[in-house]
Amino acid sequence: MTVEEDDRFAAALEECCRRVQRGEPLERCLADYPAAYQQELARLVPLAGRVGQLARDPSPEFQARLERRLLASVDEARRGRRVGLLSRLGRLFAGPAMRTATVALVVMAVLVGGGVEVEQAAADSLPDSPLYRVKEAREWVTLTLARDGETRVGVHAAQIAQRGRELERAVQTGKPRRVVDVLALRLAWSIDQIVDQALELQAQGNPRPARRALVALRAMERPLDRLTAQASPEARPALERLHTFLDEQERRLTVVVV
Amino acid sequence: MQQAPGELAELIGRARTYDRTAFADLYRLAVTPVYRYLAARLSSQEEAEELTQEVFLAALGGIQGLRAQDEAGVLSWLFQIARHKLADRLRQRYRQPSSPLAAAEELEAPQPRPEELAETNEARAEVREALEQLTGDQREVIVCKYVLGYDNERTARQVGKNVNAVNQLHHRALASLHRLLAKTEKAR
Repeated sequence: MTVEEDDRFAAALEECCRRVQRGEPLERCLADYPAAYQQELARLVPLAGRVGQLARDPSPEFQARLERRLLASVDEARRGRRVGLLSRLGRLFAGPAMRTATVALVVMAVLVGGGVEVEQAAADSLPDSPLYRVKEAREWVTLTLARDGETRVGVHAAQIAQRGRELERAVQTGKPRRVVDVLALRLAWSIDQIVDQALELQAQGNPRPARRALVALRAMERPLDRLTAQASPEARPALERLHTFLDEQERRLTVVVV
Repeated sequence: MQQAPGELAELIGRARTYDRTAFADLYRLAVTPVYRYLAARLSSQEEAEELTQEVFLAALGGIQGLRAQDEAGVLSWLFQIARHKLADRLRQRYRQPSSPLAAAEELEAPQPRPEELAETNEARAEVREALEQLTGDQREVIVCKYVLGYDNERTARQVGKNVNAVNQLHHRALASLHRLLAKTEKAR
């Protein structure tokens, strides 16, 4: 075959493969080409179909799972960038005493409203980050400044939701077991506090906080189920214990909420 | 998902700043082609999923270096990462040959009878093995056309050749595949 003939045959092969892939019978396609081409086309065209059998699509479950995993990594990467400057600062203050002083300074900066970057970075942090202490301090201040019991129930409800988001991030990014344990413990504490506070107010004749607390607890049920299923075998027991505790506390509230 | 070229360039720009939505959109645009690209060359679903994940995580790590402005550019970049990951995996397999059981994990969707399944899996494994013996360019053309379903123009863009060269590569690839598969059938 000359180069020119070779080119012409290559084009014929391409055309014939495309027609057969579109559903045309091979014989009809072959009939449109010179006899010299027909034997070679009959040999090669069916191979296209055999290669096509290797095509496989990802399952929707896998796609969703990977998307969640990737987006958690995107969040981590974004946080990493944001905290970059702070970590460089942190390295300058490496000793424990200096670290405490840095945290205190950072808390002050947050409280006077000047540390928007710090506040945002701390809001996204998990217990394995030094910035998590900033978040804890801020939460403690918010709770302490709550003017009455009903407001405190609202603060606890917001903190329960926040702990839920943190747990989700910790599980999805494969954080070590101790991070999940700390978060589960902190969530259990908030649940305990909200229920006690709500029941106290209920006893004083105010039913609204108990209803609010019940909504906050029920909102945790499904995410907790999902996280328990997704968690690593080491992290799972803490989440299971938390689930049992959540159920118990919910029952305490259900008795009083009509 | 279809994106206008300008929109996609903007999406890529936002993904570089770790914008969640932009990265999710890019992921949804590319996950099926990347998975198909890998699954065509790997025998188990688990391995294809694992490598797809590795590709996207590596892409996230290297997103700052992405200079593509359109879908073909993004996919070329991802396929390049996928080729590296595949090469690593195949090297690893060469060093630690897998047990014969690995062949039983062949990717399969519906549930035919066991003997049919075995035959189909065997036939696919033969094609896959033959595919590995083609030259890199020949294999890319075959995968683009028959696994990713690209037309000639798109295949040409993907492999960085003109349409005429793609036709030639296609012809030689099918001729080699025919020869290799005939040899396997003869040996059986």
